Amino acid sequence: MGTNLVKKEALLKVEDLSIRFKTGKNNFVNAVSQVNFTINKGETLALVGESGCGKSVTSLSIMRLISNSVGNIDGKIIFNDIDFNQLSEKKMRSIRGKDVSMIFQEPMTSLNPVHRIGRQISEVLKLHTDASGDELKKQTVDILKKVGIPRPEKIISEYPHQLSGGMRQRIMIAMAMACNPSLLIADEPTTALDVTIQAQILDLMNDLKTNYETAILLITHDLGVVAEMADRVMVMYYGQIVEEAHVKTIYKNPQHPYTIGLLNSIPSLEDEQDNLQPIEGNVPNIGEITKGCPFFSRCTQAHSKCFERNPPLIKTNNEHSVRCWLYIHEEALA
Amino acid sequence: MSEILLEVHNLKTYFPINKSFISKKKDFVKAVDGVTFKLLKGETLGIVGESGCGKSTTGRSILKLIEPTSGEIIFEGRDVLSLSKQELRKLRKQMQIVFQDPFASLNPRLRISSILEEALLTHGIGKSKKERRQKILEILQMVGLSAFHADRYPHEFSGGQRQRIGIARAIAVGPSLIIADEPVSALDVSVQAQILNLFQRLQKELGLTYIFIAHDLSVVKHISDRIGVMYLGRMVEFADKNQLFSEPLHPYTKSLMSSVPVPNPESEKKDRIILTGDVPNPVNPPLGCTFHPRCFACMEVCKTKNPRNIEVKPGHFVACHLFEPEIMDQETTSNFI
Repeated sequence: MGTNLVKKEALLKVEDLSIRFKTGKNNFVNAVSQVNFTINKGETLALVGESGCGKSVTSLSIMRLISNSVGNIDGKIIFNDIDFNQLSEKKMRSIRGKDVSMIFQEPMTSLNPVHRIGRQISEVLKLHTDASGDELKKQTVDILKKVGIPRPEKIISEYPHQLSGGMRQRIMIAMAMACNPSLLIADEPTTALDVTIQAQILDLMNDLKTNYETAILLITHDLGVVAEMADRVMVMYYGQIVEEAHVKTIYKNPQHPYTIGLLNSIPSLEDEQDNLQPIEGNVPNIGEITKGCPFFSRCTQAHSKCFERNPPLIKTNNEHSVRCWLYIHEEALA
Repeated sequence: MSEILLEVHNLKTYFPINKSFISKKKDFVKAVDGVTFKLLKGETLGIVGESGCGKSTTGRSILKLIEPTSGEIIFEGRDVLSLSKQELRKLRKQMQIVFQDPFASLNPRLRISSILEEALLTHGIGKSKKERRQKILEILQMVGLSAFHADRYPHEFSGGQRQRIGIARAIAVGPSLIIADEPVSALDVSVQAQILNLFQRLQKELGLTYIFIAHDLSVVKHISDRIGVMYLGRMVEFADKNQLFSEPLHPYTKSLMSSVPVPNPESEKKDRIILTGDVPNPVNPPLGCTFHPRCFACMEVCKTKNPRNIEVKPGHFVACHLFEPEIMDQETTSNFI
């Protein structure tokens, strides 16, 4: 919060990112197309969307974790004036975990089951700092303390299966935060956790953000989590950004019919609703729609133009972008 | 509305685990430990709780899909636990279940029509093939699918559609009670709302009674009339939905409610009660009140004595020592209430 006060300085710029996956010898599907966004220093950007909209693939491609043999990645990923796509694998490796790090959704499967916790965390420090021996151990314990792990001296010699889901996710965060990265990519960090544990983890992430000025790219489908964590929100549908705005704007004045539909779909804890207003139909599979706006078939306000051409992403005001013909029309009149 | 459909009394389901191979000493996971409630005809009872709190086991024990260890389950005046296999099968026509995972709960090798027909055949509904087919098409229509879906296989459907099929299978035999075990948690938000609406529409059309098990408080609040909150095998609070949300009493309910992120960035930042620690291991639950190690209002008595169910207001039950009359009199605790 409070980004308006701080001078905005871009940390990561993603320009024209498109990701195509090979599905056959000469067949491709566009998992992500023409994605542009910027994350400023110390800011939390939430990437929201339903399953299959391309949000996780976007995050993986930032870290260059998608191999060329499965997909083609076009576009620029510029982090602190360095283009990731131009770097050698060795250089890239020195950045991963140090300047940019990542937390995955499944704390159960993203830790190595056959190594002790201490070893898994100290590995990050070994790779990126000069620490060794007792110093390394001390730093490992310090990091565990920082993420609120009780009895860290004991935990370092335990195995992942001995810990609960919430603890494992803390360990993942500890690994990600070990070198004080300037960007943390969190891919559904609390989806697998219970609400009371989720509250602990979100609190922890917010603490780390304020204390170390880490920028966070938060990928989630939970609009409650977004409202609590994010400064800005980007909504994705079918591999495209359909709306982008400040978090308050998104909830108060959503413009894209999909965003409006998503917000109407969630039951509220505060007010009484008789009936929810769901979005009709299903989330389309990637590759299913070839023409027009991908949301066309589920949209309540669709007209003939939507069927013919996919609208471009336009700015409706300085900090609000939307990809929908409804607003382009208005623009032209004004 | 006030007629009782189902009565569950002191239900216990323990799973034995052999702790030591040699001594043969038996330990138990007390998955459900003394759950009591009454279900009224036509209502929706929500059961919420975190993973491992026993909410699914409760649902399955009621249907006797899992054999309960002890307790009483009275459905329309008949004791479910004392019935013979044949009688139970007949009774199951009245009580059906919808499972959580729509990808795992449909046989991938059967067409939708066969999946539904199986349910009809089991319960002897429809005399001829033609009659059954007619019935199947009717049911598909009811859950928002079309006739041409009948001859497809499960893999051809999306998650939301599969859940519709799961619901179709449950309502096919004309039950009066449906136990829905996390029916929307595997679905996308936009589809989740469709299924919740479907549940509500069917309830109106068919006069169904639901036990709706979920971990998502906002979903449970939306669909339920009354709600039970479970923690580690016990029902810690039970009340009318509005009563529970306006006046949660149990410290666990309070912290659970304050943990839910509100989808409104401008809502007042509530004082979040962040619980420390994790849900304890159910094999070795803490003595006394199982919640006491994480409780912000823990007293000496909580560490040794298991709280009883106290009816604080008509229909509002809470299992917490704070609400024992003699403790409520003391001023020291009044700020927790």
